[in-house]
Amino acid sequence: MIKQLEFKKIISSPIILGLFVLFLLFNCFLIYQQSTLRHDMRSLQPIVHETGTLMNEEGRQKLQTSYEQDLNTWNKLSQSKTGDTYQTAVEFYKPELYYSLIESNIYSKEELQDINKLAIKETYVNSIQEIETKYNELNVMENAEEGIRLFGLKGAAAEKVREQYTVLKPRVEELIQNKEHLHLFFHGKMFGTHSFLFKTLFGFMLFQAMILIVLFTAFIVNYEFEHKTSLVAYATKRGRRLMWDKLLVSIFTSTLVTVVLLAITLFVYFMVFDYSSLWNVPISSGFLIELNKIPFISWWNVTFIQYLLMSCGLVVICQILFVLITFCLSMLIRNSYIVFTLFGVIFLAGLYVPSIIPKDSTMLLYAHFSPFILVMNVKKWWMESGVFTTFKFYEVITVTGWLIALLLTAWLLIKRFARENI
Amino acid sequence: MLIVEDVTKNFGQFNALKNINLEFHNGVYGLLAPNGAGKTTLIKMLTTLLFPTSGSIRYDGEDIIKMDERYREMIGYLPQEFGYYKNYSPTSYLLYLAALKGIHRKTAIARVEELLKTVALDHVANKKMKKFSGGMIQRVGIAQAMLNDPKILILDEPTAGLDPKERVRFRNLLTNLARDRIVILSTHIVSDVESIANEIIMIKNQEVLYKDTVSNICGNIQGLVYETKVAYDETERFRSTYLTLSEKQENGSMYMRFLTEDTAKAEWKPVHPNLEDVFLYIYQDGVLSDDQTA
Repeated sequence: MIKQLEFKKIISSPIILGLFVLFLLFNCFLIYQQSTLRHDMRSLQPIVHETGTLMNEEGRQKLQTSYEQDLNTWNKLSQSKTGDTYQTAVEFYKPELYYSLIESNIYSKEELQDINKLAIKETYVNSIQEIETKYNELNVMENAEEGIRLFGLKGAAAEKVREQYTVLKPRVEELIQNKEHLHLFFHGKMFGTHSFLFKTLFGFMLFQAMILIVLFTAFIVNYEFEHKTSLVAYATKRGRRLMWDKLLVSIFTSTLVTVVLLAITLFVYFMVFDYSSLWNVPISSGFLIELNKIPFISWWNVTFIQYLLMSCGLVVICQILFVLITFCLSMLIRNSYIVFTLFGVIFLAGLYVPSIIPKDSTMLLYAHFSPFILVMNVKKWWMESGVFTTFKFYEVITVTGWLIALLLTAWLLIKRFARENI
Repeated sequence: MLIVEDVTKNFGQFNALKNINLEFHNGVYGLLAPNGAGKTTLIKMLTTLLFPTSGSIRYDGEDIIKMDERYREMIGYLPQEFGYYKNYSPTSYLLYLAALKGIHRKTAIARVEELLKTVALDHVANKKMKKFSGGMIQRVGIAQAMLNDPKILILDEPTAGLDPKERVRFRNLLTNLARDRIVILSTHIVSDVESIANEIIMIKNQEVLYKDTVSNICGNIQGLVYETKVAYDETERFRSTYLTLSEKQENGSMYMRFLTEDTAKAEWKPVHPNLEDVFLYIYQDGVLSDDQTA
């Protein structure tokens, strides 16, 4: 009953509710802005239905045949209309021809859509070889050395990085052997879906949930003190154990808020962008490679849907860490505004700390095992993520370590509060 | 039985209370002292909001800190500054506090309804408290203190904001309640406790000065309180000579009630001292030494 009433305090706060709705609308707006790509992205669905996602010899052959058939069909049409034929679909888009063709309205809207689809199919066909070559030539140790040089790492720190990339090496070999990289997925260079979904959307959702959670945790923990009801509340039978209720309610509400925020935003996202035949594509697919040409090498062979769920789970756990940090601060400072500000300062300090650690110390790498740095790089969770955070269990170690430390701190602070003069 | 034994409370270097020894049985106890004398500190220790620096408080022989929730479920407490949630109605606020007091929801609903009638707030039971007057809020506070039908009812300045009619009603309510429980009423308003308290506790210089019945306490200054008529131009000199307890203008003269140890003059009329006289006498620094009053 007490927990229900504490929960009611949170959900009846107009600021929390208002912000929650505002954040959801903002996420929908972000998706809306990106939605112009949905039609081009959808072109992949018929391809996958026709050829499957795996571009092994058989799949590649099917895709090639299908592409050639479509190109022939198009050339027949173009020959009948303009007398032209094309070696590749992309030739159609050469500026010197394209604009005059469009202005003369020779092709109907549907025909233009067909050539667009063909051009997209062509991009997939051409990318396969490129991806295969890239992965065959991929040397993660070179990537490690490049990172070490770029960030000026030396001594033990550089050695540790090499050690971690050595651990990654067999995984790359496994990935190639499994042909994980050869599964069709939305073309990263054209659509950048991984960055939009896991960097932009997840990044915003993480910060939105964090703002809400820090606000309501500080609000609920100090509620009695700020409303001058602490003397009455803490002299009741429940007394100072009320803090346990507040902690549990904050954790429950943070999970609820995060799950609802994720669920609604992702529901809208997947309603707009059709992923229907791609759920089981490995997340290490070479097609995901974006303009920076860096491949996504996950530590395990996980599918897109598994990766998505793992990331959602980690977002929820990160928010629980933020609840605990805010709770501990609120137990020390009886003003929710100061707690909110201090949380921001701690967050920024957490990002800044690694920059003051000597470049030859392994502490520099271990300083990256913090939730503040973790949430800044959602796009690279569970995978090779640069010299500082490429550890097989980086995410698990970070959240587990902090969870234990923060739970212990919260427990000690509640114990201390039980003997505090009010 | 509630016993306060050798309790001292320090806040850093500041000594708020020292060597307090008290014993409470069923009945009304008036804790009377001026603001800042340590009443609230004592009350907060009785409600486990503060912990004694030394000494102990025991209920039926058991330390109240160790009793923890078993003790707190027996107390009802109205603090001096009673906070409330502006957007809650009295019903929802009382139901929330009832949950904290461990009262089952069903029982709480009936109890809240009954208490709101007792404090004459049943007509606004579901109105938001933000529009309530100070007196109405104070009545909500009284109701919450009684929610769990406490064995020990501790009220810190409970009549603040109540109008005279409400005060009378409140005093009657306390008298009824005190038949089978301990009621500790802290106040600096003498009339709140004079007529209803079985015993008065007075604190001075961080220590208990009196814990006795009203008549015994008043007996300490028996024969020292007088009334007399003083000409207007004599009032200033009179005030500086004697401890004036009250003044009244009537028919162009000043009627002074005062206290003195001097030999009575013919024009002085001896009167029975009341608790307010004692209060003013005790808390006038330098009038009498503590040894003489004890």
